[in-house]
Amino acid sequence: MVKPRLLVANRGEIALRIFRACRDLGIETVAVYSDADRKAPHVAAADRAVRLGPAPAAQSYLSVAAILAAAEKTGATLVHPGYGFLSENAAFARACGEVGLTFVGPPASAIEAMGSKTAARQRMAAAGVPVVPGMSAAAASAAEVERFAGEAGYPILLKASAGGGGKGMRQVDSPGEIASALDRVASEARASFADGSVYAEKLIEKPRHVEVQVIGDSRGHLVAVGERECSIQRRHQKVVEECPSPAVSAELRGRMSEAAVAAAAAVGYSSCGTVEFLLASDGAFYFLEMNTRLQVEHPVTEEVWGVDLAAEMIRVALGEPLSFSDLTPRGHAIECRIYAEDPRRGFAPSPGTISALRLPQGPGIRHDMGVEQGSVVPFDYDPMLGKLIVHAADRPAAVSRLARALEEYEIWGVETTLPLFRRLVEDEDFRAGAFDVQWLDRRLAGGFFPDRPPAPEDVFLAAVGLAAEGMDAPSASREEKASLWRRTARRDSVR
Amino acid sequence: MHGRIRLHYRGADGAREIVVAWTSSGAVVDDGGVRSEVDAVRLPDGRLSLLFADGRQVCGRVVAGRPESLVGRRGAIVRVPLADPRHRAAHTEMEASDASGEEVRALMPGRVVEVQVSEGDTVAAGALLLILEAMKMQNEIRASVAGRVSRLTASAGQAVEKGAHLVSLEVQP
Repeated sequence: MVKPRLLVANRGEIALRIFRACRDLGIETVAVYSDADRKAPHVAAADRAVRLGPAPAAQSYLSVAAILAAAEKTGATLVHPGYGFLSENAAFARACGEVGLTFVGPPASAIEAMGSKTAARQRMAAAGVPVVPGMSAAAASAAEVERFAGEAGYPILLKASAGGGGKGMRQVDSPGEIASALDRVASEARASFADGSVYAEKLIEKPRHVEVQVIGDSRGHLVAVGERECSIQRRHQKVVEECPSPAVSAELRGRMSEAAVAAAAAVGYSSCGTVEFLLASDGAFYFLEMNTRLQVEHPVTEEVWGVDLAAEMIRVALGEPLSFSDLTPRGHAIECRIYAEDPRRGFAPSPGTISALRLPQGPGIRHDMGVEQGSVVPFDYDPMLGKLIVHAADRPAAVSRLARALEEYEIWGVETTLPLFRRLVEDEDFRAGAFDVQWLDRRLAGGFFPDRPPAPEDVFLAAVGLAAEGMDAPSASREEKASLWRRTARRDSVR
Repeated sequence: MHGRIRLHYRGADGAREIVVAWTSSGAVVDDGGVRSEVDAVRLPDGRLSLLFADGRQVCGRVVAGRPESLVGRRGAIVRVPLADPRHRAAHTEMEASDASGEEVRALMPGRVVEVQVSEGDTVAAGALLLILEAMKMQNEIRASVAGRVSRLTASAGQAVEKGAHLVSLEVQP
């Protein structure tokens, strides 16, 4: 048998995560990189590396031809897409198969089936997976909408059939509002989409985002590995994820797991995947979509369920059966996505050079980092620096551990989302687990970041620190001043 | 190391003078008449550790700046209104230029997408000057003062480094 060699068609922390799984499994690694990433940590971690092209993703990490050529050049036998980039591109999965490469992921047909959101919804409904109740066809009259709302319950949402991007939608709270709302949405729909057809859906108020991890092998075993709570989102982007969800009981977990496995089975799924649900406050849950890849937030599941999802995904791609049958969850894990963004300036990107990096340590702390001290954060890609994952016996202990870890965490050179997490761990609602998908946006709109005045200790430190600077040779250049590390090398004591 | 440095604290809670004097055993800090003696050392990673006479230990990182410096302590970064004493001359120069106009520089590396003004234009405070793209996000760069565009170095399509000059505004008398 040919010795397996795995190419990761990705960069950053996920490339490093997969390379580590390969090393654990004794599999050789191949990195690919763009011109912006020659010095990136994922290249230095690999056994082989191939340049793809210029920095823009379209000419590098999204170039199927360049990636297949790199696989051929290095004799790779497997291709892992990571997340983002080509990870949910059925054509890429198929192209890998056509040249004899094993795609580490689900069958292309499953990616395709879940790729079309409306078709997936119909398919899920047919498989008995709960979907948000909605009219199956455009409403012919206000009476028809009223009949639907009577069955589904208010409030409902009127939506343009051809709509998207939040346009052509209106909430209706009572039967009296239907006729006028229907007229308005229909005319909006005609104006925006040249199609006036409108249908109604039940509105799930203040839902939580709860998703179920599934994994299957090529021998027909398909299992759920618990759920993740991902309701802490900013503008629909996940910011903090947890396992388990504070809103999910063992009984509900059982039902959601069954639904998730049914959803995956309906499209002939194998490998790692995630079935996303909206969880209503009454405990009802509805299929949202399926992510046909390894997700950013997979580590919280790994910590709690004691399974190496990245390695398992590679094993099943090699044709091996799932390595586990019975898993028991242990404790609680929380992940923070650390971005080079400035939370005080509307989360504007903050690329630059990481001048200092100090990571928290101790029990229950895990880092999946894409950068190191000295790394340059390029402006060409997603500005995620890495992830902090904490694990403890229960949720209150995990929140305390997170607060402690954040006290130790230092990143200098770029602005980061660390201040957001420091504010979150102090928040009563967050501590109580009482939030929904819009909670963080509401909090941020209400001014989440009051500037804390310096404490006496801060003034004291600044005074002593500046006095020490003032004692330095006055010829010290500006650049030297900017580098804490070079200065440290010159002098280890201010005395 | 011996010597004495005077620092001027200009906070929301008032202005005062803080004098730091180095002694053979550490530093004596006179903060508006309150004197404390501390043992101060720089740790191998660049942070400072202060040990007070009563045993209290305070540790953090100081990044000198002007008009404020940054202090990172227990995970939080706060601005302290104390200026780096080495840059008094530069500071004065900056204050002069602040009064007469505005110099807009790129805060991050990126690409100039669009330039909305020309040299000689008069703009109101808040007017859109140009759009800078960084990390796939378009950032609107607006005038913080009303004035005349005295110098324009940015052009559409141009890639710029962090700190690159983009446009200068001159306040008109």
